Amino acid sequence: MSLAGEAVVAPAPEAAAPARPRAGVPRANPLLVLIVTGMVVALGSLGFVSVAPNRIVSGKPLALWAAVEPGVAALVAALVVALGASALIRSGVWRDRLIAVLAGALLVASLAAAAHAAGLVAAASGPVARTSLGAAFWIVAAGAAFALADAVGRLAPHPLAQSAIAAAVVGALLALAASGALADLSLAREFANRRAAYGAEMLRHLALVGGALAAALPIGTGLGLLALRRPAWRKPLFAVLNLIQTIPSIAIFGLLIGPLSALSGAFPGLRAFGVGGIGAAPAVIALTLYGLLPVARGAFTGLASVPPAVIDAARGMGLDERQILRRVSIPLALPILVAALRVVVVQLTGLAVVAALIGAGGLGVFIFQGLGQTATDLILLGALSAIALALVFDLVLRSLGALLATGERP
Amino acid sequence: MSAPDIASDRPPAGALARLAARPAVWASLAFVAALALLPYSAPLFHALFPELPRPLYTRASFLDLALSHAGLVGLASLVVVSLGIAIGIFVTRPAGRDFAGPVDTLTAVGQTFPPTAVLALAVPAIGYGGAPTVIALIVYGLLPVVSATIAGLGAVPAAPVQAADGIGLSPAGRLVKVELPLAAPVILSGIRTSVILNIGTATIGSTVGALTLGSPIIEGLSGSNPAYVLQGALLVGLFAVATDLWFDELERALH
Amino acid sequence: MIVLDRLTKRYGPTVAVDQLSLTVPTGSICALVGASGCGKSTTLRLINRLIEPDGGRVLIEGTDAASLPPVALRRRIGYVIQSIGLFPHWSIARNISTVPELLGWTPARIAARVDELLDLVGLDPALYRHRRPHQLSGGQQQRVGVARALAADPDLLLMDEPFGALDPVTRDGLQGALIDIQARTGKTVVIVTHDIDEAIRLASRIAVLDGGRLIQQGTPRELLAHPANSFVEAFVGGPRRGLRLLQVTPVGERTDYTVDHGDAREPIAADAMLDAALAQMVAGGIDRLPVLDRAAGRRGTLSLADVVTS
Repeated sequence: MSLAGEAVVAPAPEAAAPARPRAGVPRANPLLVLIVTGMVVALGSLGFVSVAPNRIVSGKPLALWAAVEPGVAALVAALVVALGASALIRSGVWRDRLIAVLAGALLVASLAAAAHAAGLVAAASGPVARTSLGAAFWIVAAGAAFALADAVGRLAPHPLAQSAIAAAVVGALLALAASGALADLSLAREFANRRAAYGAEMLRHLALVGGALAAALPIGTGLGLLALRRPAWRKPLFAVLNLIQTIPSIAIFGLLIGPLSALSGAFPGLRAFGVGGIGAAPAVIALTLYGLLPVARGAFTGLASVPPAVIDAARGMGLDERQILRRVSIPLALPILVAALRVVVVQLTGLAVVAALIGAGGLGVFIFQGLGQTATDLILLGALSAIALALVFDLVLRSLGALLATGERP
Repeated sequence: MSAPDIASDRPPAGALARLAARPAVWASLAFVAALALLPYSAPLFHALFPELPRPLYTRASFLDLALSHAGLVGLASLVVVSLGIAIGIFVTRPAGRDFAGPVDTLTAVGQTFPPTAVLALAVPAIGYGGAPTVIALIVYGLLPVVSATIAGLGAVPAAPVQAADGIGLSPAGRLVKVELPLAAPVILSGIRTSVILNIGTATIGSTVGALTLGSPIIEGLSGSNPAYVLQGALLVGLFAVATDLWFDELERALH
Repeated sequence: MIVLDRLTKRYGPTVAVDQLSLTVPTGSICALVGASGCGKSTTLRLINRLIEPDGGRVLIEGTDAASLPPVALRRRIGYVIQSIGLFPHWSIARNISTVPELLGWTPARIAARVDELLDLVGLDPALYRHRRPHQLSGGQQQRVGVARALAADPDLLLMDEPFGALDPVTRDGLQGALIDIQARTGKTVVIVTHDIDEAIRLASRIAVLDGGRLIQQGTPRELLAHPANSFVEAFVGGPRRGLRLLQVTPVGERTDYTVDHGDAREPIAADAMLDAALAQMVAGGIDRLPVLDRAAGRRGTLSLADVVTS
């Protein structure tokens, strides 16, 4: 089995769908009650921020009311209580709209409160002191984000609408960051210290994924077409591609070092093109190998899903094979092809993190540097960036798929 | 029902031959052989990497690394399978249907998270060592199992479910005797995805201080010792492939 | 004129089409009939070279089909299949204009042609032009399928069980539409069917195939009156063959024009078929009917005895 193929192969259509809550059904929201309870417990017992005298020492947790001015603490607490109260409302759409607004506000407010706490610490203890985000902050923020996502999922099931709302929330958070309000948080300091490197590694990450895609898309599509045209090759082909996906990424990266350094040793001219045992070459090759299975399977499944009668009719009318592919097969297979592309891009974005271990760079650099230096906020910087990048790709390609499906489907 | 009959009629040599025809057996044998022979392979690696003073990884025995790796993945998988199927069942029952949508959202969004990022996030929360690795494996491994259980139970055709109700099975009886067996292939493929993914993530776990087959790879990479990298990659590759092929056998046995 | 000359197609050891020779005159409807697996669909697909023959040739108006590029050949031949195969992502108009577009017609000419064809197959252009295939019923979709096949005004139309998946009422309507369209356009039509009644109704010539071989060909009446062997006899209806024969025998042939009873009832037309006459007799409880031959301007009488024996 593949690691991420489920999105490509649709589940059986004739099925007794499990009972799902429908939008607008007047019921209370027990999940939100659970989330808010968790928030309250976390705020009461865990540190909202963690304060350390410098970057090396590990910090001491500071509860919300001890960390910020009473007014700010009261605002956060009021939003949590309001969110909890809104969970008990038994009406549909307006309840979800209220939840979405409150959760979004809580998300922004909790970050602002943490930044406010960091400002107070910096004012009191000087610029060397570090204020990190505490466990209570993460629980409140994650809970608010989840409540927001859940409410939006029910209000606007269309991926385009969801993208728009996600963009609005991200925009608000970015505006907060751009205003300089967050500058005293340790996470922001780590970012500020590495502003130039961050941009370079982000580009490098994108280049690794883009390079692998540029190779995996044509090769994988070719293999998918091969599987379509030669049924006898289908099983062995997918067995081999599946086996590649099975091998842990770091092992493939590692196994490529030997052959590639031998290659660049034998042909020193190759080094000018970046081919060597470590660095981008083995990373892009390994990522390409990983990308082959989802691409090939997407191409195969997509093109095989085109009804044979449609192909027969097209051929009988005198479309040549290229015209059949371009005018009929590909347009009809497009939703599946885009879904496969989404799976590949998201998977490669995640795997490219590991490439940092073989000197290929990318966002993984911050994660592994942070792990090496026990620098929590550096780990966070890398990990959160990688997650955000994967989420952005996912949402963009989901929206693209929805856009293409509009008006095309019966 | 005819297959076991034929098997029992055959002489033991036939059964052995059929066992030998399975790729899973070969991959497992190759893994065990590599594990047994690597400690004695110093001359080979000396010849392959003459420039390295110590070309064989000796900080921990390969057997210990493999057992620790398998232990981490096994422990996590045990939790993942029991908890994941339980969650999947819960949200498809009337009592849990309020949670079905959010759990769906959570698994869909969660699976886009890079596994390495999830592993790295466990460190600020828990610290270094085997514990954050197991926690990360559990959190990440849950997602495919939960979504496969929901998908599998959701794809059970309506007819057998109605028939089960018709012959007077209780909801629990219907679940155990009808729904779960019919959903088993889908659930198993989710477990397979989860376990294979976790074998890979556990390999990276050595960067957060867990003892795994990834340890020689990571050390080899940071210490410029390609021989270590090769040894670790060989073992972990064989381990993952053998495990995956056994899932193949399991899936075939289920059909 | 379409000539199939010793056409042969093998799949491994099985011979799907075996030395098949057949002539289809221009402007006629020819039905290939037989049980499933008899090679009738394969024969049809050999004509537009969706399948290449292992032996023999296809002559279309004297030109060997093998000498033309297959794609160009197919654009000159209309093709209709049972599963219709409309392009689901295109509007009805775009479906119909596929081949004209490939042939580089101007948009204005294509638009005019689409409307003309929708009219021809009995669909209101204003109503259906912009719809998607999934918004149409099965019968409507096949009407579009026929329109699409006729789009570039091909001289030859190949139809592979075109009405096989439709319900009897819809099928009857489409058969009527096809007879009408063929009469108005004079196309040569080769239609594959396993339904002998459909073949009798539509075709001027029927070819019966079995095991890839041509067993018998002729007009429906020839087949019904003189089946070449027991296989054809069974295929054309066995014991019900006599009833089907009535469907293809005109009243005029059995009418005695020397007798005119001056019957006050409405006379039956001489070119109506005997089954209609028999139905009137049974319904009216009578054993003879007045007959009017409008073309020859004479009257006569059809008696029950003459219906039964020639």
